Amino acid sequence: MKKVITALAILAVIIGAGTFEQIYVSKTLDNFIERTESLKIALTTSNNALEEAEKLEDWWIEKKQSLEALSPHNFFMDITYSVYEVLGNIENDEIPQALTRIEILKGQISNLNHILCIHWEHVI
Amino acid sequence: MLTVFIRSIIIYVLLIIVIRLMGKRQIGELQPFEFVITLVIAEVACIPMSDTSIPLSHGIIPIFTLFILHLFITKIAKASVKFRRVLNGKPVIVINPQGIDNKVLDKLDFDINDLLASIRSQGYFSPAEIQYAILETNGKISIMPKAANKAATVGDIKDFVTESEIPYTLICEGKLMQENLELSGIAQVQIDELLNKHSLTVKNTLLLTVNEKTIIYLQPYNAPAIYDKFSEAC
Repeated sequence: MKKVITALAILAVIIGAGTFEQIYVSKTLDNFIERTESLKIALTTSNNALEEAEKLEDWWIEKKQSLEALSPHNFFMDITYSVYEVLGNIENDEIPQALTRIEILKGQISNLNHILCIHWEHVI
Repeated sequence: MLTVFIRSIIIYVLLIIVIRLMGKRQIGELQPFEFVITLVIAEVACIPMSDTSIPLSHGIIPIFTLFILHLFITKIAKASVKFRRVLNGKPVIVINPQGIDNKVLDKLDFDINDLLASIRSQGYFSPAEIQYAILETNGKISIMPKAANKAATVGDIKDFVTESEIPYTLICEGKLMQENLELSGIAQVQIDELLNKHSLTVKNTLLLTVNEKTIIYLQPYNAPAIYDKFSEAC
């Protein structure tokens, strides 16, 4: 009986932790996409774009730690580089390049969201 | 994590099916689902050990998943004979009083050389000595020899036989086995007297066993064993 209870407890922990991971990763990356949209709007309206970009960078560095602890993946580094590139473009007033880089960043985030969240094609 | 969890279940089930299809020869001493666990669990434990880019959870979760699966399959097998048959197969008689059952050997993909090797490992060098040979679900062969080839037993010689008791280990590696002492019905005082008689203590005794409540095997560390009877020793 003890073994069965232990097994059920472990099962509950695995499923619980897995579900939490899915929800947290999905919500964080959705939030990231929303922030990149806000940055894009700030760029197009020339409204404190650099400040927005710096806030985005700080936010991402903080969230990346918890995301990597839950679901390590090489793409996190690629996304970090993209964020730095956007910041660099904005600092040098390279607005068209910054807008292009933001679109690439959004694509990377969507792709990562798809990879990290459970889908049947990943299982198979 | 859930991807790893689901993949572990799928791979485990597939391995069981494949091992069952391979038949009893490949299994050795384990039941099929135990063999699968043995194969897989060492492998998954090693993966995060050798590759630090793989998170530890990718090794831990499959191991726990396999434990959970193993437990539930064991429980179901215990409750259901039909399920047990599907999971493990059933024992098969390969030699009977009429001789070797060739059709059964063909079904099992078991050739004569394998059969002879198996019976030789049990000490029988000819099928003529064997009444029945059964291939168990774990791949081992159990043999019932013919009456003329059976080893003589006490029951064959004597009409009345007294049953033996198992020996109790009372001291093991310098520690007193309290539970065994209570089961044996021997008092602590008797043990102390015995040890004092041989100038020993519990700590410098490697092993003390008693059976029939009198026959002692007393093995000190770095000294010859003492064989004695309790009533005479004390």
